[in-house]
Amino acid sequence: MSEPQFVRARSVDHAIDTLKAAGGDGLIVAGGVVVSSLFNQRLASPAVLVDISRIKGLRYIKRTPNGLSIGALATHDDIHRSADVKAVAPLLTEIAEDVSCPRLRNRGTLGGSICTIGGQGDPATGLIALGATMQIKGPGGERTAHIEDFYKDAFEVDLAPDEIVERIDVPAPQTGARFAFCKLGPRNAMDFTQITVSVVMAPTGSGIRIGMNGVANAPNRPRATEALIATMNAGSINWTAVGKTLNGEISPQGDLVYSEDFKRHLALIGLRRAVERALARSKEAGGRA
Amino acid sequence: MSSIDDGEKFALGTEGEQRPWQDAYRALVQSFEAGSGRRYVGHSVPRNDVLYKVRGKAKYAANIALPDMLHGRFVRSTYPYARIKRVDVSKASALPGVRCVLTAADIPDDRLKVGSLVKDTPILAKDLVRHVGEPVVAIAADTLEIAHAAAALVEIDYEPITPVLTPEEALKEDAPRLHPNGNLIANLSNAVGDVDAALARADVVLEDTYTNEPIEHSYLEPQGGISFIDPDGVLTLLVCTQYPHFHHKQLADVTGLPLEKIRVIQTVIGGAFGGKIDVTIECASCLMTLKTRRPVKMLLENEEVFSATTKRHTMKIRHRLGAMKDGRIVALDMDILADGGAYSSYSLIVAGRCVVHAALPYDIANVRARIRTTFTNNMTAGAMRSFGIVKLAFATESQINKLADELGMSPIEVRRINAVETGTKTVTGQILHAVGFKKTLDAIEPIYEERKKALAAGPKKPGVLRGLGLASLGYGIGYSGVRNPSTARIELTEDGIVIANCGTPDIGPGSDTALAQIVGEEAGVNIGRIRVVSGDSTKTDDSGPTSASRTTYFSGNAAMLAGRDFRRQFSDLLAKKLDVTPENIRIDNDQVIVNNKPMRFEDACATLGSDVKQIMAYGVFNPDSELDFVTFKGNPYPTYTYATQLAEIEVDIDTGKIEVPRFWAAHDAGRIVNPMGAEGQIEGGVVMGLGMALWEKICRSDGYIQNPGMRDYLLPGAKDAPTEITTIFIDNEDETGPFGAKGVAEASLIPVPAAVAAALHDAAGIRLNAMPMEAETVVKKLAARKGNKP
Amino acid sequence: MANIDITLNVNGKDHRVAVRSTEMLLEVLRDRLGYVGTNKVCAQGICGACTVIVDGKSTTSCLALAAQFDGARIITVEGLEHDGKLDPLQEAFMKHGAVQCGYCTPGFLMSARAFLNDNPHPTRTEIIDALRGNICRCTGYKKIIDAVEDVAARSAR
Repeated sequence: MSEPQFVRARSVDHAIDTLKAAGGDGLIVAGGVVVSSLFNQRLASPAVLVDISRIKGLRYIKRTPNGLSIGALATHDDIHRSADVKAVAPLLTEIAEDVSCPRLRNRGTLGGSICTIGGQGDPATGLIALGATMQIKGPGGERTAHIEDFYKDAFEVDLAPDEIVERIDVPAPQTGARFAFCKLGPRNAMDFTQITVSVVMAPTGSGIRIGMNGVANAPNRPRATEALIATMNAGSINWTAVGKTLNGEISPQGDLVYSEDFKRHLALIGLRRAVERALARSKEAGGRA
Repeated sequence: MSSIDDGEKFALGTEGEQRPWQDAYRALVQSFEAGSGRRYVGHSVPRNDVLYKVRGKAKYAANIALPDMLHGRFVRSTYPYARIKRVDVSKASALPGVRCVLTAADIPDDRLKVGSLVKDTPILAKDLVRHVGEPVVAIAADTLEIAHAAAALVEIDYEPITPVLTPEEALKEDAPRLHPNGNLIANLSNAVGDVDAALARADVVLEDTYTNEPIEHSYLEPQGGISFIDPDGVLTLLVCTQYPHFHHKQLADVTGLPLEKIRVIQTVIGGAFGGKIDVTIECASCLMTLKTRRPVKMLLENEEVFSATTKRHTMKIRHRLGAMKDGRIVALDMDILADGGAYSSYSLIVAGRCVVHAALPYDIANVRARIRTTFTNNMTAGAMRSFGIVKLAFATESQINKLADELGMSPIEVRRINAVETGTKTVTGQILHAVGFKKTLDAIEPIYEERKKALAAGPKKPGVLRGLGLASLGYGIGYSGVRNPSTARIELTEDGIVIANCGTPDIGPGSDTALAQIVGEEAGVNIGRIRVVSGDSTKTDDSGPTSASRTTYFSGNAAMLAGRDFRRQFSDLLAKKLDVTPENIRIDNDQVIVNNKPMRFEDACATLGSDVKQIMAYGVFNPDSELDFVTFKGNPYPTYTYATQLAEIEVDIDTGKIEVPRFWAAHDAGRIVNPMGAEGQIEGGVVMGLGMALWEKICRSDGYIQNPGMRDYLLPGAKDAPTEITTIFIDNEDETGPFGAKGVAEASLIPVPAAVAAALHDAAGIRLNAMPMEAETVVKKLAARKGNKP
Repeated sequence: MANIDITLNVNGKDHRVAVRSTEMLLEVLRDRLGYVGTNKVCAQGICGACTVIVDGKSTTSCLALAAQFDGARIITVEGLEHDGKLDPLQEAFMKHGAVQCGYCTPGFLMSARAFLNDNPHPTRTEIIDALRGNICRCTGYKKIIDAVEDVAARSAR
């Protein structure tokens, strides 16, 4: 019943040093939502808890020449309210306002959500579709990782025990790019079993980036499906063919709510709806920045 | 502990704590004092506990702490069926801070078993565990953390036995006997007329099988309570329960204490729905208090609520309905196989209710109903809102909707042709009175016709199908077929507080308020001065549990009679004091009129001084409800409530997802005592019914519950509920009820799944016979239907 | 070991308390500071019964490590009333019959209060969306939504 030591990190380097000293037995706490849930279920017993929530300069959203830079501690609520996000990557605004519920959006951070697939991975799908990168810092210095490469397997991410995600860089989509987010679950909110799809499409034609969650062990980017759609006419996509390719790229597992087959079925429906919404949006908005 | 000694309802705090808020409540209900006619009954009077609840001051069990209190916890079975080879608590007992470790070995055999109807449930398992989560050891320690740690140190060796997991297996000749008397908990049947002959000559015979999944009540407040020994040596239990008197008597058996050395007080209860009527922590907590002589608090965790408290029965209902071309139903044949789980709980009551309700709300000449409920090694099935009738309605109402389609008739017309009416003789031979069923059909019909047109004409959303469906119910109020009287006693304090001691506790719906309305109306006093004491086993008579929608009707009648008696006793006493004739004294609108001169009620009380103690007004309501459970003849219930409900749904043909944007519920609940409260019952019941119809299911695998929590047990949220729920109370009065009232709480849920199923058929042409009607099933059925098309 | 010193301002009052590293804000509020009006139900962040307002935002106190909240300004249901005067939401919940068993009520009140502070004139749809993270098993939500809508309609524009 020994309690983990609680360390309030003063800086990113302090956090990294503390994690390093913990020798793999440290756990980062940002908003604390997922970590608390683990404790409540008695599923975690680290030696050290490293609270990064008070590190100055990790909670921000700013515009950069290339797009957006979002500090790891920015909450879903921050993102939802940000005029900059809305201007540069409104897809993230749309996703943020549908992440679980207000009281959890207020605490849950973007960095935490990426690392733990918190918020059921909704934000990760958008970041994948937008081609975001993560700035990660560890004892050996900083490195950049593409978010779609970050997820290795269930509960396995490309992050060493003494590394920290500092920020997420979101490149601005091309002017006139079309986007949409689609979430399919048994209810209208608060589902853990759900299929989520984000798409960002080129201003014209059918060039597309797709981020999905709920269809594999972790958020993923179905590249072959993207490539196939890109060869098709945006107005007449052959969804049967797309479905076949998509099926080869996803590996959903049945759970208490949906069977594997049904998840496969919904994955294609979700993708189709996201694409149709994206295309419809371009009509109604006449393309947007 | 002055609040307990004073005999106030513990839940609301001490006299001193209550007074300012009683004044505030009085201000809140001021608007009801003006005007003529009935002041309270029939009006939406705010709840008399609401000031506590909105301020976070309600004393739920979890919120009560006593000095020197220990924290209790169970160690539970990890097998569905196993012999206990060894229980070693030595390490747990040795842990510092552990004050009591209780096992079955500490309880004499003749006191070990308890139960609501049959004493077959061990307080702590001995030799054998019959379900996952069955308590084996109870621990009390200085802190909850220590209790948890000690629980982890308990060593139990099990020898697993192959579990029996379905009623079909339980009924096999070579099935292991789960209980000494075999595997059947209930085997009841009744027949009237000649069903086979009627089916043979029927123009249409519809046959189908209907099933459901186990449901968790999902009251938000987990079971909990605190036991302690009061300064007079009385073993006292504060507990969230639907039935304090049951625990009082049972604790006498379990502890060997005389009845007067026990007291059970209901705490403010955070929802129940039938799930707080059996034993959970009560016996273990009290036994540990007796051992340690210290207060013990036991609270279940949410996971325990889901994995180790009673569930709604699963039933497989084979249903045959025979009808003539003109819509007359001539035969109904129903055979039910139900899973009662590990212990008997309320299975017998559920079974009895199913047999009695087989035909309701229809007048069918030839009816055969049979139910067999078996033990299994699943979690015990028990009471839950409607006692099984929601599943019966799913079957019967679905069949009737099918019949309407088959005959090309309106579902309303088919029901009207077969509806029970005042004077109809039921399958038990009871002659019904005050039946408002047809009026509920009349109320729904114009809405149904209008919405049908609107949907046909309305804009079509691509990929979305819309439909309407309706279903009805008839439901008996109170215990099935046994006398279940309620009483009320009214006392008065010198400063004018009217204390109404009523035997059935408020479990959330606001029955204490309804009872205060009735007392206030009948006694002529302001509702703000009435304090209802309803959950204290020493202050009230055993008036049965708060269940079966019976409180307004049973305790309401008792309260009305007591209010009448109060008025008489008060007038007599004051007349004597003032030396006037009692006829010249009236109580009206919180004033006492003596020889045409009004005086304030509290001044009259002050005049009486300590003489007020002589007032002991009493009311008892004990209707003739008796049924022979062999012949199934008699009057099982004193009255019945009826309803027709209409669901409007939208089906997403790609995802199979069903939305229910609109819902209408027309109810005959007699005169409504509190419209706002009754509406609240219906709205809540409708959404609970939708949960059962569309999402909720306890998933089981090999006797283990797979989704023991709200993460994977899908409860409807605000975004899933209909945006419009319209309640219609039809004008009807039952002269046997208090001010014409019947009851409403359970009825609201019963027709919902069948109405949704009908709407699904209307929208998409598919029929589902299994609840929940999940998206995946809808998509599969739609695909199959497409495939069938040429 | 409770060895992390924090100061919590709860309903305007400062409390110094030493907490364990894995202790939840909910436990500290209830078990140590006596603010038992906030109820614990699911401990998984699903039901919303434990919602309190932290620094102006609704927060799930069962999924909040107390140690992270040093210096936080917290409002619980007990802090909704001022000088014996109830919050308009409390009044509306009473008037509209939005309370039955009452166990979810404090959570709904706090979610709704934080929401209305941020968006005083919402549409009914926005209200429903704001309450998506609170479960009620008794009322079917209608009267709760009515109550919040009533307060929104009455507040000055």
